[in-house]
Amino acid sequence: MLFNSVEFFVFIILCFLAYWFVFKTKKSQNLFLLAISYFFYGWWDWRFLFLILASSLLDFFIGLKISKTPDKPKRRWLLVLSLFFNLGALALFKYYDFFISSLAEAIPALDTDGLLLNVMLPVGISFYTFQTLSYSIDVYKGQIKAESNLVSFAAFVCFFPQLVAGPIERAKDLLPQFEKNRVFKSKDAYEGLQLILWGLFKKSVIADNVSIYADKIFHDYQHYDSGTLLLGAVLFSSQIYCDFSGYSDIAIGTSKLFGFKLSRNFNFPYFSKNITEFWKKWHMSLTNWFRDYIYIPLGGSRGSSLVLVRNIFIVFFISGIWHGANWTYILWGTLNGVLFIPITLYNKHFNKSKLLTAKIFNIPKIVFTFLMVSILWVFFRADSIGMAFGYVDGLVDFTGFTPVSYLKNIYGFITWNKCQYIFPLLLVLYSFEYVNRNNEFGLDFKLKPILKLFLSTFIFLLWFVYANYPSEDFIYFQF
Amino acid sequence: MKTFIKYSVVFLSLILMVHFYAASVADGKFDDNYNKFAMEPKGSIIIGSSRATHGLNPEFILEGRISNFAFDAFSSPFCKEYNNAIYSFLGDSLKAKGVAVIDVNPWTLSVDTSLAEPLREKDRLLNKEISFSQSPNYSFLFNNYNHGWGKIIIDEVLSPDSSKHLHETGWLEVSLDMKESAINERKTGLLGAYQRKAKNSVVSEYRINSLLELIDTLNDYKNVFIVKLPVCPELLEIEASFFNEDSVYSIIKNRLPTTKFLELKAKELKWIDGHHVFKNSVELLSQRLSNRIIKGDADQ
Repeated sequence: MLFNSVEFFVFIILCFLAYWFVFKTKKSQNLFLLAISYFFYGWWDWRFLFLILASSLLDFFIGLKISKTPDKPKRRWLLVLSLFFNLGALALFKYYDFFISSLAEAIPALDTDGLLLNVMLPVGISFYTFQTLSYSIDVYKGQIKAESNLVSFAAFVCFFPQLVAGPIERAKDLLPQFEKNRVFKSKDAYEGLQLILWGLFKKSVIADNVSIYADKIFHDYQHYDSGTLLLGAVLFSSQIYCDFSGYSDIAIGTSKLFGFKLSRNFNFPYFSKNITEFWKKWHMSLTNWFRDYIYIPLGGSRGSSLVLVRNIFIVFFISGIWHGANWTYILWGTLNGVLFIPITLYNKHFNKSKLLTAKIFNIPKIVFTFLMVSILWVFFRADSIGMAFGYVDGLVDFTGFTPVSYLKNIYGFITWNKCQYIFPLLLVLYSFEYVNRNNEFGLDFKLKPILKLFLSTFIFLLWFVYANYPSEDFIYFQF
Repeated sequence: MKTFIKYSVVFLSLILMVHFYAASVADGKFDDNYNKFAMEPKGSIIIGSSRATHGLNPEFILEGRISNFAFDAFSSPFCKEYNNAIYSFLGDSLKAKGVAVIDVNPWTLSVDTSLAEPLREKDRLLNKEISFSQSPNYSFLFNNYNHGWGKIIIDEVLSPDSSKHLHETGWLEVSLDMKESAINERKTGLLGAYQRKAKNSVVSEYRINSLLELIDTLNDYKNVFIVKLPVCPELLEIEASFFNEDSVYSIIKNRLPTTKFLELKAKELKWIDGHHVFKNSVELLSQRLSNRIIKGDADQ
């Protein structure tokens, strides 16, 4: 059930009414949330419900056992057991076939045909696995108490708004919300609806329109000139941002309707002035997860520069793998790490120069960072490493280049494909986000209610006219 | 809570109202196929691909007692999906007496072997859950229309596209620039595309069997005509490179000996691209077909 589908629209209205008017106690509301979350997940493929159920039961009982076991080696073994099963499931479903195929490519003589499982990837497995893992680790470290209520715990693992594509919630933030009585707050509900509207605008109006032209350029990249390839990269940047952050906005907005507060996942990342700032603002729940469970345990920025470089490199490498079982993701993660390292080293060893931090450079820095990130997205979007390098090669091929011919080619693509209409839409998106860059989301205007209503109506009308509904899911579902 | 619900109901009602309004104005300008699912069957039917959609206007055939239920070669080649759609569309009128005009051409009887899924109709229009003869047709809008419904209002009311109009009879009226240079540009592009396609196209037994099954079913109630619609000589040449018309026709004749064949020719015809007849020639072509049907003037 996609967030931008009619089914979800009906589902959410019915669930909202039942949640507040039928199930009035905390206990019954949690049970109801659990039931609708399983229903929501089972809508894709009911067979994978057993997987999420097994993961929930395992971590619930291991968590309890860890909290009751004073013996440290035993606690460690229990944690290892949780890690083994959670990461094992992830490895089996997501990486096993990739590993075998890569092995076959590396050693052609090896017959791996019978070894491939060809299993379907359960939707959102990377997200809920990381969520349950963080719970087990936090209980092990004594940072949180083990949850003793199975219903609350299972609802925490499969809370439907964030189940399939995050934000990846920490037990210390989300679990207590299942334990307290929830009171309906109109302000939160209105804000929730605005978030849903803004998320739908990003997903259905921007991402799903821009994707038509980005796909066109990527599919046929050999035949396009440098200017058009740059346009393709920039369009894909907007697509992936709006696809993923749009999902997060709808998830956070939906949670607000049910009295829950999810953590923020994006903080206007394309207004970042360098790549380190970008990574503090992009997919924040995952970045924070890596920071807390990999980067800091490895030593973080303490120690020598070499250790710092190693730690950053490891985190970005794993981030690449997390995104998908393909070398393109690994290369994308690694390249991000490579660009991240010099800035981090500079910040560690030198005081920030007043000249470099002068406001006058903000816009050029934002544009430069955006272009750099856009070029890195090529590796993320490409079907293979060869395609990624071929695309980048074309991107920097300035044979016969003149600024006029460059712009003329871009203009030629736009007029030929009749995609002029997407640029005013992108302008609305980025101008709204820029104005609200210090607020929570792009439609979070601090204005009089009537003006907010006017702006929301304007966004609704854009959605009503320009929404596009291709058959594809949200991009991040595949992770 | 009450205030929130009150406001939500008001907004929800407004949202629903604008959607209902959009559905109510849905007609022949926002989508090339919508009216085929909104029109009522008339007993007699035109079946085939875009040649028939563009080229045969029911207004001039059998005094308008016929519906144009042809789509395009991607959606409606001869296949199980198209046959089922025809039976569903006709409903009770399947068993009523009438005429069935079946436009047969090489593209609707072949498959492109270069495609991963040669039966392209599998993920197209006629394989979706869409009901027929309903206006407004919500199942079409929900399951096939991939845009915000506000676009329907724009396309139908505020800024209608003047180049295409699918009439309530199922005829697609196309108005394009008919200067010689514009026609040649379109023709060159189209012939190039068909030339490439022809290299990988082979006549499909599955498609022939689907056509035979269709004729056989319709034969019980209707006077069935297999019609060859005219195209430019260059396209005929491309088609002949992979499609042996005589052998295909003889398969049909052997299996269903009473089948009537009818080839339409007209020197005065104009095409928009060498393939699809220009709207000003449609009347002539349609009337010629109608006259021959009425006279029972089949070629074989």
